[in-house]
Amino acid sequence: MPARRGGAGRRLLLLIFWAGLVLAVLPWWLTTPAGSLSDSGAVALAAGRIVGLVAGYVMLVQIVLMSRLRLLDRLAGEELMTRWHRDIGGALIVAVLAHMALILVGYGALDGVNPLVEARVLATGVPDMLTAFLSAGILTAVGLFSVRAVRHAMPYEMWRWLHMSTYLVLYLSFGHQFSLGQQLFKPGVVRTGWLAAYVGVAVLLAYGRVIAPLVFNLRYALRVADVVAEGPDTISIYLTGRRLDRLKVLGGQWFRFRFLARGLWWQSHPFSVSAAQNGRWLRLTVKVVGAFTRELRELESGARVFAVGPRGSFTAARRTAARSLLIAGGIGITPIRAMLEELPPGATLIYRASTPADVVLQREIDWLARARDVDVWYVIGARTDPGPRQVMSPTGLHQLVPDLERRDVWLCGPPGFVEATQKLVRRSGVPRKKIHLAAFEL
Amino acid sequence: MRRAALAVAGLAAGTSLLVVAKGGGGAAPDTVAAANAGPTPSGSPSAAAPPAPDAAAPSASGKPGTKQSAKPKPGKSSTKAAPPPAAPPKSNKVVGPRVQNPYGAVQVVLDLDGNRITAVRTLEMPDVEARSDQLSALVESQLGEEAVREQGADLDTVSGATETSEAYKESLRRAIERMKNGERD
Repeated sequence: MPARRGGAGRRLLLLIFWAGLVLAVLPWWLTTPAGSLSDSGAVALAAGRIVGLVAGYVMLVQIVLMSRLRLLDRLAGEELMTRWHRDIGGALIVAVLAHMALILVGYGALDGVNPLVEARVLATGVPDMLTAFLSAGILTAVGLFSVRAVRHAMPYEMWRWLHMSTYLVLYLSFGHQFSLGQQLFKPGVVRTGWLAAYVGVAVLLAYGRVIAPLVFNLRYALRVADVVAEGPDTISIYLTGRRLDRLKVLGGQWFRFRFLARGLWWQSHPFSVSAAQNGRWLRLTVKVVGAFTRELRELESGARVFAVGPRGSFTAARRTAARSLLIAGGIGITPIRAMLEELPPGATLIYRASTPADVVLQREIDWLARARDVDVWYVIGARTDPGPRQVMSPTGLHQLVPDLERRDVWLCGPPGFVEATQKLVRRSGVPRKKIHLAAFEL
Repeated sequence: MRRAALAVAGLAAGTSLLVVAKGGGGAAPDTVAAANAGPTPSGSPSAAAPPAPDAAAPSASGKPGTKQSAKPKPGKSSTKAAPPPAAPPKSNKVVGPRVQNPYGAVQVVLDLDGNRITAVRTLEMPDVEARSDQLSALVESQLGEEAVREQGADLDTVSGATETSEAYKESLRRAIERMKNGERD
């Protein structure tokens, strides 16, 4: 059973974030004489500079959040990093646009021209400004592509490549910060510190995204050992490698897998492990839903696998109570099956599936139910059928699990299922902090 | 979504607060400004000082202590540089006057070979503000080269840096006049 991890890591990260923000704006405070902001142009410039410093800082934070450092995952969980990245992302774009508008108004007032003329003057006459405008444009576009509805309208790989262009934003906006940033353009502690922050972020990024995955794969050298049918449209892929006894992975965690076989090597997909760590093999269980997953059936044993992970904080380490209720929807059973081995005994599992044929890994689950004292309820049928409707209601849940409010609740399945079930569990009186989510994107 | 909106609201509120905190304390800006800006040559023009009609600003201070602020806009006025120190009679340089503009002041020095300009250097350029610093560098390199080529002050204007270009040309023109009068510094 993994040791529990509380909220201390999260609080530490928040503390670092706020301290960094203060440090970023502090130079403005120290170098701006009090009472100097006497006309509206000066006020706009000052506000523009503050917002610019904030935007520059937050931009770096965004990259650290997505650097896939194991440390961040351990401290607060990768899901939280992703959520913060999302929340901050919108604010970052607003900050960049506000920075641009305020500076244009401020300089416009100083030069006695309107902001649009000022924009043209800056873009054509001042070094580094054309690229700065360009980077603001790219960032805004990336932000719009990340709006959920737009994002889901395009293939994931395409979205991912578009999103990668934010690295271009970093590069294009770099120059104007140092040549034109009022707090940064003169050599000194502030400029050096800002530069050091960039170098630090680049190092973290290179480590998390390149070095750590390479080391992982060189060390463990994962290969396909076997592909096994679990049901009419579900397969399990067994992986072996070297030194797997030293690999630390928790049930509920996932890897991004790239199978180095013909027709498959160019794309990578996230899969949870469907069995707890055993020192000899890893297993992922996959529902065959499209072209890619169909090809996985044809994988030959011995094919090399490049894995990035393990990632995710949907693990028994995040438990807050002694007992748990796990609710799996469809193929969402796979991480939950792995977690059952690591949660304290006495858990309850509700397994929702549309048809009996969709139930997978049933023999293992029944075996675990006996070994670890788990109550298992298979709830089969469409959402509108009387059985599932009765169980998936506050009354139904309380009948199955009378001490529901005192338990951790773990939800895993397709996004719609997770969202609906989360609302149901909240309505049934479980505090938000006790609800743990993992939504599968199929 | 709600958290993103909160972050934006927080940013707006925080920024306003900072600006108000800085802008509000205008009671005795002279001393406060000096205290805040660190090592400052005393007597530099302060933000709230009454706008001097003609730049009575001290020409000796190379680095005005106050950062960009509501600078008095004295139009285009110029001040003669402090009288040159007693120099050897046949020096090969001549200093132009210090020409003030809204962003700072420009003062050029001509390096001479007889009555030919070999290089134009600057003693002072607007550099308090980051953008001015950038533009000053542009003006200095472009106009400096052009002045040597043309051997005169009838030069182009660097786009985006009209005021500084004009001030530069003014200082240059007067320096050339002095050169033609045989003056040397």
